[in-house]
Amino acid sequence: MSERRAPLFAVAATYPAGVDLVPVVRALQRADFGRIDVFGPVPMPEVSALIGVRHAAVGWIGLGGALFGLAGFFFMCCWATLVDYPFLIGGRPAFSWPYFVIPSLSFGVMCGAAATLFAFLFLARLPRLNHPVFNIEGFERATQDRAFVTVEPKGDDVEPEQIAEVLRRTAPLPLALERVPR
Amino acid sequence: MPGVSVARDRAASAAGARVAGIAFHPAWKRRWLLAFAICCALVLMLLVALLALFYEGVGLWGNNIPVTWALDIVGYDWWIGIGCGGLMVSAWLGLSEPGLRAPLDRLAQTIALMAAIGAAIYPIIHLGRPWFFYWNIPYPNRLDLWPQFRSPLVWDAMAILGFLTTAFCLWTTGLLPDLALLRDRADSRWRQVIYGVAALGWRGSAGQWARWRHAQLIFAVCGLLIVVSLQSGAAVMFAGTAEPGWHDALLPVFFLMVAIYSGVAAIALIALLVRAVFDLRDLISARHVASLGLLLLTTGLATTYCYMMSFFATALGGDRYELDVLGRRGTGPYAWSLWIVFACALLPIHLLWSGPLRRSPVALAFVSLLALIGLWMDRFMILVITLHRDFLPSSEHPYAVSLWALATFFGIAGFVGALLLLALRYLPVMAIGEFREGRLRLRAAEVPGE
Repeated sequence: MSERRAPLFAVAATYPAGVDLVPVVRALQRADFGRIDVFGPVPMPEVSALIGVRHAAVGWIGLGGALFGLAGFFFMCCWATLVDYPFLIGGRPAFSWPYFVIPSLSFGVMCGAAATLFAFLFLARLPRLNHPVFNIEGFERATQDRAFVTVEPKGDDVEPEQIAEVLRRTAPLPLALERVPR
Repeated sequence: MPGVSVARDRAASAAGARVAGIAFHPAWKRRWLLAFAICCALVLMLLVALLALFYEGVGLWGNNIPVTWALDIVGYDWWIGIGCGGLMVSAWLGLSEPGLRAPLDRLAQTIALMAAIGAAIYPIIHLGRPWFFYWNIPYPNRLDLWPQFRSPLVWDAMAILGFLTTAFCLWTTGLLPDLALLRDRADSRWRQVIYGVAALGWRGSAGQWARWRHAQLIFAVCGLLIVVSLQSGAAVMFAGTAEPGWHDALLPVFFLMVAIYSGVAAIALIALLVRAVFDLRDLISARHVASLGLLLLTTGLATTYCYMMSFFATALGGDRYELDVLGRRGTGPYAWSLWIVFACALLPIHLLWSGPLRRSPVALAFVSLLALIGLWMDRFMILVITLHRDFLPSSEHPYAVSLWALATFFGIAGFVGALLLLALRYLPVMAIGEFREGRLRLRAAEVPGE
């Protein structure tokens, strides 16, 4: 059993997709074995709230990017037309601020979208092609009809068997339990 | 979620397999290849037209002084209108339930992105020296030159960039979970690798899903903002000129409505084509067809209202030049464009008052196609009728559509079509995760712990 000798990443339990995993997560949190994660084919708002996913950070970073882009472009327009290269054209006032608002808004949205994209990728830890959860037997069904709960033991004193015991005792019962090598 | 029939539940459970099957083993390979070959031929025609254009200049399109904006801006406005409509509909769908949203959302986003790519070609090739397109964008340079920020040209450059960025972000992040599904269902190593890399290693963890949802929502809000900013910016750009007929205060709303209407028409037409060709009658159900029909009717009526109001406002308070433009729209040498708008875009939608016609895919596709033709003519009417005669008789000049301009338009249509065909062939045509979500919620509610 070479897998047993490989360093342990987590203990994984397999469930049918769509079951309520909140009791399982609660039981594991009470036992406090280590980091809990849940994988499945659809969004799981209750579970993600329970394990403390702070998804709002994506929005705040996006808003920050948008405001930065908006203000940055507006001040760039002002600086270009008032300071760096004042140029009288068609009798228009140098500080034609209504003209600056529209491209600033477009640029702000562009920066907001880009910042949101990068925040999402960074916080969701993507791209990463070699994550240890892919070692779970049958993990390809996580995008189809299975859900998986993983517990990463936080120290050497947490025995995988203890985690498995809690999972075996908690309803809904797992279809399979597995030690996942790193 | 009550009211979801057993049949639909079963259809939903097969949705993942169906969509993966379309990407891996389509039953309609020949038809796809034929359509793709036609699009590639059109792209070749576009290349020839572009070479001729770069050699000869934009006069090749029949553009002259004063008709400096002709089919190039007509084409640009038409494509970006479809793009804006696609993004707007996608944002609207974000508010609806997953079962209604799933089959149409991906199509709307794909159409938005591809149409915007088609639109983005025009402003670049319309520049006399397209290789200097980046002069529109402020960049550090040793000549200490800036784009003219008091000119609407900069608005266009920024709006297009913002639109493309937003549509790209929405579309690509939306695809991730579905690409991961294709990765996991792949039946060959190379498919596994290609879809695996494209899915960026999506794991479907609770945290990824929560952030994905949130990001999708933010992209939809960005989409709404950029659509309103782009279309009203375009209208204000028209108003920024001295030309008669382009100064109605309703114009920003008018442009926005026309854009949404054309986007809905494009989505309806392509959704119904996809439904027929891919045989997706169980996924894009009669309910979706009826919803598209209602949406088309609503946006068509709103566009009709804008038309009537702008005529009324001009007749009531326009100066003599505005009234002259209004008169020439109805009776001048290019009046046929207005009558085509009426015949194709504003009148046929009234067929959709009838329930059976609204629910008939053939009738809906026909009305959508007519609407797209009519709305192309709308742009032609707004631009050419105003430009060919302004305030002075001496500056009047007729305009004739040149074959090269048409070749460019159809070439770009082929290019957009080729992109769409590639996306429909190799990418998941619908958001499988969302479809499944409705089903799983239902099952979990009915049979806890199954």
